[in-house]
Amino acid sequence: MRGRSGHLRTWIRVLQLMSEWAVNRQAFLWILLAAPVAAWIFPGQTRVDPLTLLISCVAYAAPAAFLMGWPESTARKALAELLFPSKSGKVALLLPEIALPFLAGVLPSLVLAALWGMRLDIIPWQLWVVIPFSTMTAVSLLFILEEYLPFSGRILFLMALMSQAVSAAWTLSPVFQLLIPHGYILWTLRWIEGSGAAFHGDIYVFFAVLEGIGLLLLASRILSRMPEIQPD
Amino acid sequence: MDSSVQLITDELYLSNKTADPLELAVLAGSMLILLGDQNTIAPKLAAILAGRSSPVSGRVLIGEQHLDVMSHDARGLTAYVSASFSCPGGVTVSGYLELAAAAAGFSGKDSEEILSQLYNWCSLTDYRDTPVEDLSADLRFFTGFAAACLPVPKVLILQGPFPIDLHPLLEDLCDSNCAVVASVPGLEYVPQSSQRIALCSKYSVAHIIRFQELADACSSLIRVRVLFFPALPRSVMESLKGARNIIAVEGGYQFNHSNLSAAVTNLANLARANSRQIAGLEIRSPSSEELMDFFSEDEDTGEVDLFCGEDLDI
Repeated sequence: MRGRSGHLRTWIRVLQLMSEWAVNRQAFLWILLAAPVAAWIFPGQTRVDPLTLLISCVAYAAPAAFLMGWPESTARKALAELLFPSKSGKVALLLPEIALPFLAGVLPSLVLAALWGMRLDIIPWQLWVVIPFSTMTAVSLLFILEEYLPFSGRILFLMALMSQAVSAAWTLSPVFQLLIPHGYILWTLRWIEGSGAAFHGDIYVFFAVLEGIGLLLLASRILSRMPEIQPD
Repeated sequence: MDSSVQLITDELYLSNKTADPLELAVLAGSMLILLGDQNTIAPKLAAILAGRSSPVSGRVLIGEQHLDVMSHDARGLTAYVSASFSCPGGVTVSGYLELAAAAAGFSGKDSEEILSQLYNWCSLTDYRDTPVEDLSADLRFFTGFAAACLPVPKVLILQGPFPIDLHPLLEDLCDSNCAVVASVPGLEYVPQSSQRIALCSKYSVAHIIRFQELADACSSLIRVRVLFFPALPRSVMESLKGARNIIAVEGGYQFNHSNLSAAVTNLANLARANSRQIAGLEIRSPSSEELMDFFSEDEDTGEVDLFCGEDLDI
């Protein structure tokens, strides 16, 4: 009587509802463009290659466009109330809501990275690893910030994203480059180009994998909490 | 443990202000009503029994295996329907129920068949393509209820008030051995098929009574307020058979009577015999406090309460 097809239909439906919710709000485009545009008009202008900056920003800004406001939205709460009480309900909600922003960030970023790499003889493997794990970090970080710092978290996120484009000397310091995960893709790209990176590309990959997996586990724990009912 | 007990509390404390734990057991195929408004523990208790809110301490156990209602293994055994149930914007009744059926693991073909039965049972056939947000409050409740019945859980918990049209459906569920627990804010929402009613105070359950006991209490506590034109002397009013606690109010009297129909008939006769008109008639059901006071007077009857865990020796 029951089958896997039911779960697949749930995932597809959740993906559809989440995309509708995100795309139908005015903020979607603004969030998507906020970081690159802000970086571009930043006082002093950036000297970072626009395509390099775009590859890095898309991996973070696209998930943000889907996730900012999502955990607290009526749509998400309604879906959690419907799906969480069933046995497979947690996965039915968590998997699509993590997968959608992840794919929205990783796919265009990989395509742009492939275009960027066409001028090179060979694209180092580090780029193909750092992009998905950095996007995973972005998704997890957004869920955690939305839970604990719903407003100030967004500002911090945007500032961290914008700081990549700053051409000041302090951006070349090893501490800054490792402290802000938003820059791992950019610094890997710049390591490939041979300009500005403080470490070997493997270091950015290592931290991206570490943070991506660690934060994803943490975000999953937060997201899988059954919403408590507060009687009116 | 009696295999027919579906839900039982274990050292459950609802508030720091209660000395004793709440002992409650719900049998399969029975209906328990938590009677109390938003100022009482009733809505919170419903959420706790559904595993959707944490108690101060203690556990709620479900099924024959004594699973903690908040544990992962207990998922799918209970369903909770709230009066303030929400739905993603723009989703139609059919869209919502198809998602509920898919989440419950029904295949496409099975869900079509089950949903068509469900639309008929819940009288939602005409509203299949209507967005849930555009439905009336009653129909929204029916939609939430229908989703909760995919599949029929062992224990269904409802947060009222809910439409009276739902009462026969709750009876059907009880007939299929599902235990129903419903929190309702007033006497007028209590379904006739409920077996036990828990009178809820601010911090705990004050009494658990049978439906007939509640009906008897309401009969004896019912308060009638009658206004006469022109005014009727008190001595005449006191001659009304069966009237107790007569209090004069502006333009008339207020009194208790154990038989409502007899009271109304006698009042009409009294007015006609004294050439008076009944200018106003109001019948008030007893308040929660009055009911609790009523049952506090004759506590410890020595009878075994089949719905109390202690009496079941569990």
